[in-house]
Amino acid sequence: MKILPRNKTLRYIIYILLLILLSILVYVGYLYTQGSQKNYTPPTVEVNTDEQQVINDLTSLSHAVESYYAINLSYPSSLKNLVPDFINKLPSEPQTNKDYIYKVFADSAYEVSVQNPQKYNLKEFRIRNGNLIKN
Amino acid sequence: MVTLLKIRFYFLFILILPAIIIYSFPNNSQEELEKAIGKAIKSEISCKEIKVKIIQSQNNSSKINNMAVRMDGVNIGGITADFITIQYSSPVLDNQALNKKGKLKLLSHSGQKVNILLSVGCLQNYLLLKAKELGKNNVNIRLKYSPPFIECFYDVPKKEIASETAEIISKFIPGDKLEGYAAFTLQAKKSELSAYSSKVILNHFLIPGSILGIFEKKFNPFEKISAINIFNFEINNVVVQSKYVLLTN
Repeated sequence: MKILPRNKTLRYIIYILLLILLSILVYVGYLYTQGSQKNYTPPTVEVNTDEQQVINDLTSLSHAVESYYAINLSYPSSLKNLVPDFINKLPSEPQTNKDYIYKVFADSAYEVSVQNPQKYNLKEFRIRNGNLIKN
Repeated sequence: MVTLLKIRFYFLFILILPAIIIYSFPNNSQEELEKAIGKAIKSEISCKEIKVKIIQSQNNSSKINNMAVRMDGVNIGGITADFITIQYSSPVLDNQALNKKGKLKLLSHSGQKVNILLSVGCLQNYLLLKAKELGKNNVNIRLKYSPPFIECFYDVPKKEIASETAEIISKFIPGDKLEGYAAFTLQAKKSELSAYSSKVILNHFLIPGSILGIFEKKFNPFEKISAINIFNFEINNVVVQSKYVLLTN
């Protein structure tokens, strides 16, 4: 304690400065450890509910169908045709683990829906031509 | 007997002939219309290839239910898109302008859908061209699509970055180059593209969000997607997929 001055206020100031310096060092250390090459990965995206997961799945499937159409000028006959160019892996329903239902109408419209909307306490849960229908 | 068979055959052929003509006529007119539209677009838009697909009404062949136009390698602002597909529901075309002047003129439609696809190569070329435009050489950028993010691995000599930028990130550049990783998302509003970084690593340091915020404010929007002749559209949505970035209206 002999190193520190006897004045109480001055002593507090030194403590605070030391604390700030330590915090900065810890923060810089954290930034440094997070910057290694093994951290060259995208952040994880968290999904809270099954319903939100279904919305995400239907939306990404719909976008993949749109992209397929943009190149081929016709809708895919099956969702399997979207892998791997437009979607890495076909998602399955979170509650049932079953595939989503896909329909094409006269090559001018398409629809992706869940197997059973009642599982989500809904009458309809589908995406048609990019528009989400949920009621 | 043979003569009788021959007569029967000709009789049957005469009976079937009108059906064949009626069946094949709409297809021919459809193909001709597709060709005429393609030609009209080609005369106004510079691109590698144009493909037109029309779905006519089954009851009335002069009515179009759906028209889709795909253009490959079109320049939209500073980006050369791999594919641009514009789809119209129930379009009404100015037939006179198309047949006499070879011009495509849409009188009305009940819906328009625009899909623009940008591959990794296309975005990489765009970034390298931008760097060259700014006189920056030896810029090494590699992109990877990891939905919903675009990953960027970069290696840029320190001398190639603007002094203002270098000032902000000076603490993170001990050596003579900027090397690291970025994961970012894209957003579009009124055809203006903005990039938002979710994670940036520079020379072994994770860059704090406050610094990233400064860059986002400074450089966004970084590009404006321009509508192409004939077709007017506004891009308001960006989706990152496994091989393409999809821009939609």
